[in-house]
Amino acid sequence: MNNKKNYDEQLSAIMNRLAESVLELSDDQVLAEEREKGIDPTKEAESIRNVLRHSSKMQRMQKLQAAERAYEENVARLNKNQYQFPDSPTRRKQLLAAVFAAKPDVQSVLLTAQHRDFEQLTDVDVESLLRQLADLGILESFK
Amino acid sequence: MAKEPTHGAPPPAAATRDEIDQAIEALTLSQLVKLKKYAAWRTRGLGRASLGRDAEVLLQEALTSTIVGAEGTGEGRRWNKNVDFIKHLTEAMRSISDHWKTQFDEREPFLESEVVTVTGEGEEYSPLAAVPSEDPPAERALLAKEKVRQVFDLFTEDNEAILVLEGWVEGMTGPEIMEFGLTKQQYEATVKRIRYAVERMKN
Repeated sequence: MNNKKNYDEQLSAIMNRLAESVLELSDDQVLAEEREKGIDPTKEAESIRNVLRHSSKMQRMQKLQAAERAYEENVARLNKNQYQFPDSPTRRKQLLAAVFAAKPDVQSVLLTAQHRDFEQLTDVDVESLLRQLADLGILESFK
Repeated sequence: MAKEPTHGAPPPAAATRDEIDQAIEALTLSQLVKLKKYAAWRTRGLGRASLGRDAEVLLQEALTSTIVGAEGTGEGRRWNKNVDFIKHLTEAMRSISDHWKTQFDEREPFLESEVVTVTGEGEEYSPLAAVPSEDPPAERALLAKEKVRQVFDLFTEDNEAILVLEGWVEGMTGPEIMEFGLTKQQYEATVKRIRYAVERMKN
């Protein structure tokens, strides 16, 4: 064995060629080799599929968790900001109605399917919407 | 009017997240076994650069990267559906393991304390002092040397295996090695012997 390459590269070259050799095998040969070694290819394959399924699931979970974190951060930020709203629930609702009347496009974005009916909004809903509007700077012109 | 020339091929059909999940379910038994074995050989080829990462980690990394690629953020590896899923994953594993190795070569500080020995007189001695700086870290080189020797030692009576191993080490292709007097059948049988023997060898 000559030593033109360092041993590290030689080891990689051998193992990587063995990796490529697996891809050149026919489907029957791969399964036969496993059976010759006393391995049940069906069990082996399903365990590998489960590894892939698990990775996929974890990736989805991470994305959901990231979205959840972003939502919570947003809510926390909105709650943290201090705004001066009218004292009474009625006057707060009047302010919201005034904004929506002046900016119907904002109303369509903010009112979800759940709260499509303005009259159905609770005091908490009204305050939450006002906070969002204030955070967007939309309430400035209504003071 | 002359037709306007088309500029290049249409963009490749990138798989969606759901299509990747469907592709996982559609993998056959032999494809799944091939993926695992491919990953196992690639991680063995990393030697110390694997940093404890095994075949499953490599396979998971390839899939995760593919899923990220499907999100269209410009990150990860997009799976072009015109390419077999297994081909995509093996190429991803090849690229990831090469990257791990390069990263290790560039960044891992050599832990001198691992090889410092104490002489009979109680003085510390580091074999690193004699190693030229462009060489891979000394201990890693020694480990690799020992493993390469072990592989060749498995075939002291098998000239065909030695020929194939020598060829691989020299970067020769299968057909190039066969020019030294091996038929295709002999070459394939030899590769199988090597695969079996090295697989049994302690990692």
